[in-house]
Amino acid sequence: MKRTAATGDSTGLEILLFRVGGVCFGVEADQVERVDSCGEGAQEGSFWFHDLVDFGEWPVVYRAPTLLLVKIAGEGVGVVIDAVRDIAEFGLDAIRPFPPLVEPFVLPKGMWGVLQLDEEIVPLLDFQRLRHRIVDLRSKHP
Amino acid sequence: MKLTTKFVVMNAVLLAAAVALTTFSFTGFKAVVVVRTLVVAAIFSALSIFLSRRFFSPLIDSFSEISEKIHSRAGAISSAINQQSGLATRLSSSVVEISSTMEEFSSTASQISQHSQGVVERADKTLEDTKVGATEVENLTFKVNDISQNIEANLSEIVELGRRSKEINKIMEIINNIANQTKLIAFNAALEAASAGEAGKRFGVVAIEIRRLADSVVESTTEIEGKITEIQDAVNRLVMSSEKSSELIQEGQQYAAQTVVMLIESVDGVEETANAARQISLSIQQQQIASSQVVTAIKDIEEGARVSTESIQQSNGATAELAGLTDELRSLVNSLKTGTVSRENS
Repeated sequence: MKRTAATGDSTGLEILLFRVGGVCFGVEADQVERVDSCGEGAQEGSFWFHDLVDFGEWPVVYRAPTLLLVKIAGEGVGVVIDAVRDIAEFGLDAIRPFPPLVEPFVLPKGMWGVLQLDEEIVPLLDFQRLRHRIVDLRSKHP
Repeated sequence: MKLTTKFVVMNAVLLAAAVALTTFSFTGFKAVVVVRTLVVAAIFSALSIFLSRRFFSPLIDSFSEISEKIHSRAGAISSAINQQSGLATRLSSSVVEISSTMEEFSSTASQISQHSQGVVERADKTLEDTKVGATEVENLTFKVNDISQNIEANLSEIVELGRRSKEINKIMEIINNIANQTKLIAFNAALEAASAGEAGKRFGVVAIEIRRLADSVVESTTEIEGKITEIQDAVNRLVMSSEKSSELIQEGQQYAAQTVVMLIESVDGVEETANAARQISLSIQQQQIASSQVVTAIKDIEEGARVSTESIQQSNGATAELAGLTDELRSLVNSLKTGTVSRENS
């Protein structure tokens, strides 16, 4: 995994990489308060990641469910992911925004850019952008 | 011409000759003497004829009758002897045939005796082999029992090994859980370090190293779990194989036990066979001796038949000779009878 070493002038981002349904996602480490083990099911008040980000017909299997406690609008929300892969600092040159043509489709899903990681393209998430989705889910399952 | 006639004629001739000689010697006195001589000769001849008819004829008749009877009896004897000779010849032939058959029978009995002796030896050998086989199978059964017990012990050990490997697996799960927890702690430490900014950089490095160690532990435990799974699979296969072997050995034990029973029964049977063969051999030997005695007796009979045949042949010759003699006697008697009759006729 190619990383950019942390520098004094903060030219990179600390990103937490995790997997869900075999797809690797990234989130800025600042958004995550804590990582915790999660048993078989989601804990009370937490959300399955695939409920927040629509995978469509893509099969999603959680082999080692792990709870990410993320900060959304100053509130701690539990999100169940499959497994944490890494926490590392990546240079800004490895991070790219989505093309304007694609942005209208991916921004509502909380994705704001991609991280070029070796041969893999990792979508970067912003849990703040998923706030409305959490509100929707809470209204459906109070 | 019959004999009596000849006799009379000869007497007359002799008398006539005597008279002629006398006459030739004494011519003076000769007429009277000749006449007297002729008279005497005639009287003598007549007397001779009379005497012969009076005394010889019944005698000749008796001779003739006896001769006929002898001839008839000789013929009957000859016929009987011929019949007896034929019977003796056939008897001799039959005796020779019986003798030959008995010799063949004796030879066959001798061969059977030898073969039966061979059967006895083979039966004894089979008996011995069967006893050895039964002992070997019994030993085999003991060995198989030992193997079975060893397999049972091994099976217990293998099951224990499987149980221990499951325990190791549980320990591995615990280690894995600890490693995962460590990883989570390391992630959290990394998050804390990230939120601390520049001040948390060193702490972040430590967190990364801890996570790497935890990853390494997880990899190792995963590898160990894989090995343990392989061991458990091998143990399961071994258990199944051992159970199968145990079943096969149990079957083998049952077969061996049945074989022992069969061999013991065979030993009894072979003993009976050996005894029977021995008895047969003994009987055949006795039969051989008896047949040898029969052969000897038949040879004696054959010799007797041969001697009897020779005697019959000699008797036949004598009878034939007797018949010839009676023929001659009959012919002589007939000659005498003819002479008498011709004299009577003349």
